[in-house]
Amino acid sequence: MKRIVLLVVFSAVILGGSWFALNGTIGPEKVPEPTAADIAFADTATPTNQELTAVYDRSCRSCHALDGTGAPLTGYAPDWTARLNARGGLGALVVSARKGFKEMPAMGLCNDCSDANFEELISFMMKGQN
Amino acid sequence: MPISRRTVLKTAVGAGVVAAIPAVPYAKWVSTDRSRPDPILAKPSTESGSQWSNWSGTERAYPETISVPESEATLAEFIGNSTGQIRPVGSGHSFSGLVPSDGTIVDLSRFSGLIETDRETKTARIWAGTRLRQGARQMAEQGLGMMNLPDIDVQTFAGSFATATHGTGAGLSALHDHVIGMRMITPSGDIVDIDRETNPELFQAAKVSLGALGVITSYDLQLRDTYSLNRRVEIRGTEDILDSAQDQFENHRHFEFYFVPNSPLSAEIMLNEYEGEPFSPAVSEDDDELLVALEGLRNHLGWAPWLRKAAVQTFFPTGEIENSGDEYWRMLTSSRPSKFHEMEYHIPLEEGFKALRVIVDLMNSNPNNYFPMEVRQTAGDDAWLSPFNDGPRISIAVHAAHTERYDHFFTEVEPIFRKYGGRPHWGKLHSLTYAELSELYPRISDFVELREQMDPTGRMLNTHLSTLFQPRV
Repeated sequence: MKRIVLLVVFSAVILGGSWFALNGTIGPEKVPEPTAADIAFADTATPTNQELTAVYDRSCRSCHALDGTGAPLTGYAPDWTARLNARGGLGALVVSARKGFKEMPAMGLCNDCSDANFEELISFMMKGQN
Repeated sequence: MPISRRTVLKTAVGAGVVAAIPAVPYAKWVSTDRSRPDPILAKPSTESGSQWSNWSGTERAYPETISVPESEATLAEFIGNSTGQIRPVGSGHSFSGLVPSDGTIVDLSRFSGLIETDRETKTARIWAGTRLRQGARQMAEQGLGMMNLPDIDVQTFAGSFATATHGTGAGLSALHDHVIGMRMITPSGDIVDIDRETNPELFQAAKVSLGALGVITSYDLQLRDTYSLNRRVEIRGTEDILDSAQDQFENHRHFEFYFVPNSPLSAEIMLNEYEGEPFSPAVSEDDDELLVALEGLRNHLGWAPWLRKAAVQTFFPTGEIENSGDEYWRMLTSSRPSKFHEMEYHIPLEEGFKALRVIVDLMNSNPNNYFPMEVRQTAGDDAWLSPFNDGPRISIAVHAAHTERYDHFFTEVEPIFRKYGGRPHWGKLHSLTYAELSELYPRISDFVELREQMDPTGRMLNTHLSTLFQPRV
């Protein structure tokens, strides 16, 4: 019986794989996985401007400095470029921060941030330096 | 966890194709509508345009103002010179309606960071709006560490203490139990320093107070030397995990397990202290991959339980899938990439394992269920509104994907939790009001009396808190 079950499942893989290849809509954008060095960089990178660091620390760092949260990783350009391309530039990312986007709450845990602040924070996170 | 979403999805989708043979049951199953109606009606923006929503989207508010004060003096002046409703907010991770207000939502984000530490007494003063990960990192830089942390580290210290947030560990109490003092701005605008010696009743009431007594701006915490944890994750037979769970809680500093409904396999997580360098960094992304895989199997194979189980057994790894070590705050917590809804009750130890079996049977009886259920244990403490104030409890948390219905939490699961003496997590979904809570918490009437003295006009109460703390509502 078990062999029959496995046969059915493996057949399913083949057929399903064909369907999957044709459909191709499941899964996130194709962004290469960050390396261990990218992840280590994100973990420690902070803005040189102390005021900006304080805001980054309290509002952004818990998600953006950690790989696997769904948030684009600080200093990891492919994550940010994909989003810039998909949404049409820095201004659109600022709107995402203000209005919220997927897992990120509206105002990105920074209710006192202006659009200019968001722009500054995003610019830092795109490069990991300012 | 190291399983490829793509592989499992291919399996699941493919099995759906194969299911063309029994086309009718398959077609019926894949067309099941599990979406939840949005209970929140669109409301025109207020004049201020302020809007607030919690993380999961179950709660929304249109307050007059979202205030982000920059100092205790500013906040005290505002509270003292105003009369409207005030609700403090942390990171908005509570599922229950603790925050919504038509008046002022006070965001303590600027009260952020470590204020001072004492290496000799291993204590620290920290701003209440500090997020857990940020605070733990800053403490570790000073060589100090917290006794325990919960899963989610975006929460603020104030938010997690106020809701009796806990981690897991048979010998470890909830986070608020390590508070040794705090500073509060009362509903009349006074700044009060609170500790066990000078105002013992207020201290025991305020540690877990849901933001109902005032706005807490800083905490003094008892810490320990910082430490490292070795985390091991194992996938084993569900029955084996259920049978050995009681011993496992005793055998590890931290133990928890994820029961996967309608699956022959489940996962357990064990963490213990070790000395040495970090090794094999943990990968958090694959937790999300596993969820997607389980959902795919449910969506395409839920109509055929035997095939669904065979697919899990065949394609999911078994045995140890992670063995890593690092600083404790990196190992205990993570952000949650997938949104969900959750109900969690804390059940007395002796009844908890009985309740667990009943809930497991219930979850397995419905093939729509796939989202793992989390089981943890927490030691007792003495805060008036702590769910753990009469001894250790087992915490059982049921989840549903963000987009799916969760009404069964209330109609099927909550009655079982209550039958076994469960107390709800203050920040998660539950339906209890003062009438039921007064049977569960011996000191709740003292809390209510104290609250009425401190806030006679009820400006710290919103609709949800009124149902909890106003006997007449």
